[in-house]
Amino acid sequence: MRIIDLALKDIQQLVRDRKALLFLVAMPILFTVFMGIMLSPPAPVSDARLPIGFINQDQSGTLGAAFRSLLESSEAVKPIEVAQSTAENNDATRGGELVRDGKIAALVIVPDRFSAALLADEPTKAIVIVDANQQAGQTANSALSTATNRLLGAIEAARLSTANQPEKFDTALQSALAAWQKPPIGVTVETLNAPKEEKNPALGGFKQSAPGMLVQFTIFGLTTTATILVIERKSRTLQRMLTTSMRRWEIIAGHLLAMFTVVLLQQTLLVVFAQVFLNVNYLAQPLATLLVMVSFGAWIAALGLFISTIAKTDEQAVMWSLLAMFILTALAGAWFPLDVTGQLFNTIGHLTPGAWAMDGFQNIVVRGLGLASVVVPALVLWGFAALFFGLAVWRFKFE
Amino acid sequence: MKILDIAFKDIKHSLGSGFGIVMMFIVPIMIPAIIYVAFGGALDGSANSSGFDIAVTRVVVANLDRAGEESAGAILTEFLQSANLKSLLQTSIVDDEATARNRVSTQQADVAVIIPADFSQAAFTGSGESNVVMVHDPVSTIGPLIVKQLLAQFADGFSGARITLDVAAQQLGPLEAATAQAIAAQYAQWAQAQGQQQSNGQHPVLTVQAPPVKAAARNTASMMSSMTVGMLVFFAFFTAAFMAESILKEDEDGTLPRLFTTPAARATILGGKFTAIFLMVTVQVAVVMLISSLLFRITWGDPLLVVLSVVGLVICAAGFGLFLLSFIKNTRQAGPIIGGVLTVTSMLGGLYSMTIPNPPAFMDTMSLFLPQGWVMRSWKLTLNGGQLIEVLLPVLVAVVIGAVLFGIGTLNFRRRYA
Repeated sequence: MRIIDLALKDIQQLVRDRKALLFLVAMPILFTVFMGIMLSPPAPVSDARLPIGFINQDQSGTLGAAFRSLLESSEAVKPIEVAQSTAENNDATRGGELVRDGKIAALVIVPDRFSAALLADEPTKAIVIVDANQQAGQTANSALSTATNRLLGAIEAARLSTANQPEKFDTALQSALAAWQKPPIGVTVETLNAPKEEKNPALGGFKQSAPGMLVQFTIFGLTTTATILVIERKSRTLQRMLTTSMRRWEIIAGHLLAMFTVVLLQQTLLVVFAQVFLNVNYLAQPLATLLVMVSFGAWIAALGLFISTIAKTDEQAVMWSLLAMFILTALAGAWFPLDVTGQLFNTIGHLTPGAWAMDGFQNIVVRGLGLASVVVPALVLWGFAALFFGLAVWRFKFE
Repeated sequence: MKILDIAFKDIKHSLGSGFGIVMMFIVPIMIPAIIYVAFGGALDGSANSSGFDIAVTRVVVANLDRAGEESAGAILTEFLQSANLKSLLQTSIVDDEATARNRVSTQQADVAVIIPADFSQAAFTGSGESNVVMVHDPVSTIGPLIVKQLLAQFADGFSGARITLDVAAQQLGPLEAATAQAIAAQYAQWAQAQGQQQSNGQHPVLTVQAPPVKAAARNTASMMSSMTVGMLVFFAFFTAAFMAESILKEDEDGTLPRLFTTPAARATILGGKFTAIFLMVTVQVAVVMLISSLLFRITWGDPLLVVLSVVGLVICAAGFGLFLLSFIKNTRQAGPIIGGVLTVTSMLGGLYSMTIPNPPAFMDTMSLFLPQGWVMRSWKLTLNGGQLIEVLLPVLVAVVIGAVLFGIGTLNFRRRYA
């Protein structure tokens, strides 16, 4: 009972502090929305393929047009006109500027006599203007490579099949090009467990930002919760409490319970906000979500206790909490998915508890998995909680 | 002289604070450093990005094509297990589709490749169509992209052979087995040569060129430099506010009223405190820029433009910090107000979205109304090799905003301590 009284005192102290409420609730909501908007893919449009400028100067043959036609059937890009004047040089210049300004993903200029040179096995090259440092540019490059390989494949098919009847070459080429419009062997991509209305391979921005900012600002919350203990030690309140009938472990447990409760309440508010306003489906698996929240909360409370033992002043408590937040949230994959980082960073990330909390939440909201999927992340988090709690108790001083 | 004494005392005091050191010098370098480690050379804009060691994708293959050892499914499986792909893929084999899907579901694999039973039939016998199914973990992004590209290339190889045989059959009539085999072999040989040539970086019919740069532009800002500048600007504004907070702290501690009893004029005392803000922000910016240059090999741009941008940043940040703190009653209020206001204005000023390729259009408009937005504009132009005339406008706007805010802040403080 005394433990609960002590915890309630801490919580009351925090709730009265408007600063604490701002950092515990308002800031994470703001960041979740902002980061979610930034990370979300653009709104779906009828044709989401990347535009590629296409200038066909191969007027004497048909392969320039065939190249364009093969690009038309691409799932990644669509060829568009960039011409504004009849002068070819102006078209090319304007197209290059459009690539530079990010209006089109690439510009293809098919030279004069492209068909004639290809059919005569003479060297000829279409010019591709592309910013290979941009993701759109890389996608365009890949699609262009596929289309040209199909074009060359069609020519080769026609050559091989009419080696003894060259007069049939044109017909064979047309047949091969037509066949390449719908190749007989293909690849179908499925995203596992994606809800039917979300068969979009792009990860929704809020599904990354909501758990990410939850992890970040729960650690950030220690700037307020961990300082309470430090202030009590500095003002000798802790020492004075030892003169009461409360045992040492009860005092520690009371403060720990307060931190745990605050963290759990904070997580609950963020989960409800994301569920209601951002369509992040935490409550598809309420028990699993609760298990991750409780496990994560236990670790955060233990970390808070640990920080309060190493900090001599409240300013130091804020400093250690901020450092913990920046380092642990970045390593956790709270700012960007660990999947897109290098192998080493990914491995190191999973040596930290935040990454396991992210795994747990993402198993629910992204992978659509259930309770069983969060058992391992929860156990790891409890392991970290025990470790930090042990360190905190070892270092704990009442004066 | 007294002004400088007071300023140096304030700076010394701030440098003695662990919190101040962390927030002014360590965090602005630590955040870009973490990102640098996460993405290696992929962010520094250099051609050599070998520092980025992409994670190996765990692939599980269920080959349902049981047409024998030479089946198309067996060839595809062998391809995915080939030594050339070992640095990209770690491929394992399972017997059935359910197990493969389960491996992805339980995160034992990132991608499952399911080769359909009719794969060989579609590839070799010239009848029907067939699709290899790739199932991936929704959290994985890069791995599935790589596997999809490999599978698509492979599928095109088979499609090419199939199309060749179909066309040959149309032209020559039904093919004898030996003829079909010979044509397929010739096509495979040609495709292999093409693949070899392209893997050596020589495309047979494409020449890739970079887009033209703007007349004024001489270089392009790397993501690393953009992000470092975002952090630099954010923490410069923070430092200015943190330094200005010392006025309130001294007032609460009683040292400021005590100073006012000395022969030093109030204007001199406040002037010393204001000078400390400018000096501290300047020192911070210089230190962060220097260390970032050494650690992340950032090219800041034309030295003259860099100096102008630094001037704009220092004046604007100092003015904003003083202005903000002049409305705050005590240090208890200061924490949340500094944190809240700086976070929101920096967010809307575009500091956190510097590295996002296509931020929403409203962000650009919004940044015009915020001091941080104008400071960022000058830095963006500087990093991207803008010309003096281009950089001057945002720098001037930042300086004017800073001066106006500084004036208002000074008036407020003078009125308070009159």
